[in-house]
Amino acid sequence: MNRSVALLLIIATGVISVICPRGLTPPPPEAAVSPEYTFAVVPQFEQRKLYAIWKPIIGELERRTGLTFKLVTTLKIQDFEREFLKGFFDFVYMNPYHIVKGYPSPGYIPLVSDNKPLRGILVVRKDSPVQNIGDLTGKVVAFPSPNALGACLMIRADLERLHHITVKPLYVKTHSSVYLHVAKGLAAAGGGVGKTLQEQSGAIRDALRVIYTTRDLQSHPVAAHPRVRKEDREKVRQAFLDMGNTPEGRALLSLVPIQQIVPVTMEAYRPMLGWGLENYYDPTWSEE
Amino acid sequence: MSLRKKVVLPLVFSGTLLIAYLYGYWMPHSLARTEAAYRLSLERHLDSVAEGLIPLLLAHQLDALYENLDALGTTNSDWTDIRLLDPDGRSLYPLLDAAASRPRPGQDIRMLEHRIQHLDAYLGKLIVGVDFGPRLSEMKKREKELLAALLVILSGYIVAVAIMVEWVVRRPVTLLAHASRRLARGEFDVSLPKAGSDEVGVLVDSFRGMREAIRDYQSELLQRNEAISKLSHAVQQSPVSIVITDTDGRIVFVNPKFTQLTGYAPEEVMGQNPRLLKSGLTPPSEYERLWKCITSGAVWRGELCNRKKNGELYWESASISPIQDEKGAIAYYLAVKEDITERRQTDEVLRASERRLAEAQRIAHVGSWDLDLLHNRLSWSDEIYRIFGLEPQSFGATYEAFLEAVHPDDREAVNNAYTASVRDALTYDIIHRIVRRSDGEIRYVHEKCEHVRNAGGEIIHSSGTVQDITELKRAEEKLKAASSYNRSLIEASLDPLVTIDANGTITDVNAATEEVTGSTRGELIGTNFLDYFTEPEKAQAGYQQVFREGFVRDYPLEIRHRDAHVTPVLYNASLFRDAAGSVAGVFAAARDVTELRKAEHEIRMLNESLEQRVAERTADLEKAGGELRESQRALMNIVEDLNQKTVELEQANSKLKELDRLKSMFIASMSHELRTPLNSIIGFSSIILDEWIGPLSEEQKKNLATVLRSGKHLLALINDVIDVSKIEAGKIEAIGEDFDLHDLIAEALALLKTDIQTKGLDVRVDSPHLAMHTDRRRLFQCLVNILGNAVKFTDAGTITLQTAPVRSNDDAAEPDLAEITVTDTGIGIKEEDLPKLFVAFTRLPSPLTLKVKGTGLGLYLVRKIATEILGGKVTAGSVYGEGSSFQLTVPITLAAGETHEKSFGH
Repeated sequence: MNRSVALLLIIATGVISVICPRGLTPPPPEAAVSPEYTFAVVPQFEQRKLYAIWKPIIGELERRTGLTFKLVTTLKIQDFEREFLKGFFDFVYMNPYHIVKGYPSPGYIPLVSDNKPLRGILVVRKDSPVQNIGDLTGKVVAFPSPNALGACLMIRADLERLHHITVKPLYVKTHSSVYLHVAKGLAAAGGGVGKTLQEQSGAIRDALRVIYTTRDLQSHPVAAHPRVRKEDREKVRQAFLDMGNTPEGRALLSLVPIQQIVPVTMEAYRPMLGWGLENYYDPTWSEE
Repeated sequence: MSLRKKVVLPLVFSGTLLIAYLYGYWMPHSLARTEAAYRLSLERHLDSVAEGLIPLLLAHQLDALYENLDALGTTNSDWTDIRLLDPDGRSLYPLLDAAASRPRPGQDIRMLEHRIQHLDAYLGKLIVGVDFGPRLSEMKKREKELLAALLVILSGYIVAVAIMVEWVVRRPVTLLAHASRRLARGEFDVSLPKAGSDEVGVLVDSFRGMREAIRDYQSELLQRNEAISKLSHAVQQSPVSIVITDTDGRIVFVNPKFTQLTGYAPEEVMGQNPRLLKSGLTPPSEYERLWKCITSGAVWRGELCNRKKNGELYWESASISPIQDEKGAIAYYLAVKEDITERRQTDEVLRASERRLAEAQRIAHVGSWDLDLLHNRLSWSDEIYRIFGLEPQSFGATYEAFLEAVHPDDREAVNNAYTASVRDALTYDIIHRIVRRSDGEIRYVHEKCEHVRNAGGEIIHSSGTVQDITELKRAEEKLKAASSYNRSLIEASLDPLVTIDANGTITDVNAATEEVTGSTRGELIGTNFLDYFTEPEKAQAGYQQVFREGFVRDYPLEIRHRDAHVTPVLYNASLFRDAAGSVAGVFAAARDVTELRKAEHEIRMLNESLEQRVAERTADLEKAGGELRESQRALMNIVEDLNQKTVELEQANSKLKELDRLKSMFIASMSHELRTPLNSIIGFSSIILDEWIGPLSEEQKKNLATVLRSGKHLLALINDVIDVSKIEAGKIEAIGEDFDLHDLIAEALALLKTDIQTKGLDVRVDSPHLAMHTDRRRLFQCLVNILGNAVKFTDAGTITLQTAPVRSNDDAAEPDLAEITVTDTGIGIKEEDLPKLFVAFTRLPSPLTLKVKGTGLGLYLVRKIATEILGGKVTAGSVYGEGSSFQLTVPITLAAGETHEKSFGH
């Protein structure tokens, strides 16, 4: 009887193995289990909003890659910078400036980013006598904060390094504040980005005009720490690209906001290194 | 002013003041306070707002500023205007500063400014325009409501007070006032208001007590007053003059009679001495005696002659007495004085009167005497002495002495008369002679007297008169003579004369009256004049007419004689009056009219004869009337003849009917006679043709078929002819039975089936079931006829048969007609031939005429049956060469008179 049972078991197994091959497939050779990767997002928005946007994306990522991620962020950008420069995070989504800053060490590797480039714009009041940026020499120009990449750093770098124009910066905290300052004539001009200008109300937009647009810059990337295994890196990259190919994925990404996700390398960001943006970066600036 | 006004007006006034104060002062101030408080709270709010703005200003966070200020504007809907200026006065907020966007400042919009300072730094100015309107108006509304409520309450209060005043105070008080007034008038039975337990009630109770007390006082007073009044009236109304003087002789009271008598009003004599009345005619000694008497306490009586105020003298009889008080001392003197002026005057007058009486007696020659029977004392007036011619001294003044003076022949009568009058209470009234002593002349005197009795009824005293009537006597005799002359005149009249007094009593008649009545004068006088007439009522009427009109003329009456013979008379009468002019009676004279009457009678006889003649004439007329009636009767006879003729005509009519009946019998028998041989022909030829008897050769069959066909044709013809004649004779009656039209149609088609099939015609039938009650056989006849024609005249094509129930008119509730339409695609009928269709024995010329057999009666019969028997109609329409359509319309139910034979479903 025992032999019959054993035979039965073998046959059963064989049958089952034929029927359900997947369940009995040995796990892949890549270690016993992949580690949980930290995915850090720069605190552009307040935490809750940030989590609301990124949690679903992370979930999608996990499904597509089979990896596990832990979504993290910090309260302040400074903290984020600090941790970022330490190389604490495995994956990051951050300001392109930080990529430059973190090069060559910790040397995060950009994976994907929005195809739409970053640009800074300089706006003046519609009825302003300022016709070109040359008229702004020595004038008060409003910026959101000194470390705003598109709205301040790039503009100031352009003005001073390209056009040799020095202006008096007035930091007014937010893009909206910049536009209001300009609209109310409290600043001769203001620095912002096209996106935030579009977000303003019709009344404000109608009161302003753009007199200068900076050099294009590649948008915020998703980057990986060099210690992350290449396969995992590529998995993540692919997962993001795949997400960009589905309507649902695109919808999720558009909240970031990423309109058209494309793969990137460091090359895309390399030009930034020579712009001297770090001269205008204020590490002591607090958002408070 | 009334109590109500006194209470209500101050209330109203103060209420008005209060309202005015509230409305004019308190409310505006309250509003101002509210506004200030609100402003204060707003400023505090602005303070905190500004504090919140400081960090944003410091950080240049314009967008956050905008957010805050926008939110502020949204939350505070009454903030019409929010502006933020920077330290340099530049507008930070709002975005658009256009004046148009700033709302115009309404009267309730207050601008608040707040300087924003941080430590020592001036950061800017926040200007806020706040609409205080809603809040203020809310406040105003509430205050107005309050005011209104207050007003209502106040009004209510005032009304309540007014009502209270009215009910609790004014009404009772008014009632009390009214009661007081009536009380003052002495009316005690006034209704008093109910006494409550309040002060007014106390007042009412007190009033009631007072009323009772007054009532008691008054009754006591009344009693006393009454007593005093009685005394007072006695004194005031006393017919004697009353003067009261005090002990000094001064007048203290006079009554109205005094004033009336003397002419002095009381006020003129008060305090005066009565000697003001002295006339001077009363001797002073009399006054002395008076004074002495009364001062001694005695009563003085006497007569005084005094002078009135107007100077007139008068006499008064006075008694003056002293009046003592309770102590017995003389307090007053009471003088009671009676005016005797008149009495004295009357005495004078009386004496004068006596003198005149004596004079009158002398002139009238009437003397008066008095005989005191008790003492036998006779007193004569002067005139009697004169009449009797005696001297008073020489007269014994006794009854006997009187008798002596009477004429000796009359002495006894006079004595008897007087004595009798005294004894028997008879009237003493006598005329007698006396012998005048002075000259011995015989004089006539008329004596009368009356007696005076004592209490016991005995005559104690006689008073009488004596009048010398000698002249009178002589006049009488003259009159008598004249009177007898008159009398004889009256008696001489031949006409009966009578005088009747006002009562209808005969007072005088003449001899002629005696004669005509047969009664003597003595019998007539004193009787009623009516007794002597045959018609007393007529006589009475005549009498009254005299009184009415003063006279009657020729009044006809008949006097009845004592021996019953009657004398017709005509009366002429008139009123006669006495010396005074008043009516004394009627004086009537009668005229004998016997002859007159006779003449009247003859006239009457003449009249009667005339009347008779008239009667005869009338009889003649009546006879003529009778003849008229005769001719009337002759007319009646003629009418009877006419009636008889009518009867004869009717008889002729019935004979005609008889002929008709015979005709019908002929038809019936003929039909039978004609048809019987035909039946044989048809029957036998049919049998033989069917080879029941034996085989036939083709030739035989052909010939026999001809025979059969001819026989059938003849039969049809006979049938048609008989039908026609029956119809013409009106012999055919419709027999109603129940059947289904559909079945009828089917039967008809079955009959013609062979012909239809032979010709190869297409037959379309649209025939719903329709229950009908009419003459089935006749309808079938019509149907077969029409259908037969359709088949006959259609060589190829279709015959359509349609039946439908229709309404005869719109008013019919249900269809009451059956419409049967037969349409064919045959040779058709020319338009001009259509009218000839239904005419008897007329066949229309057509190519088929020779081929098709027919009697020319078919459609004629159809029409006859359809219209006269079934009560419907038949119409035809056609297009020559294309086809025809025949329509038969009959009532579904045959009209009254039908008989019910077979049932539906047969």
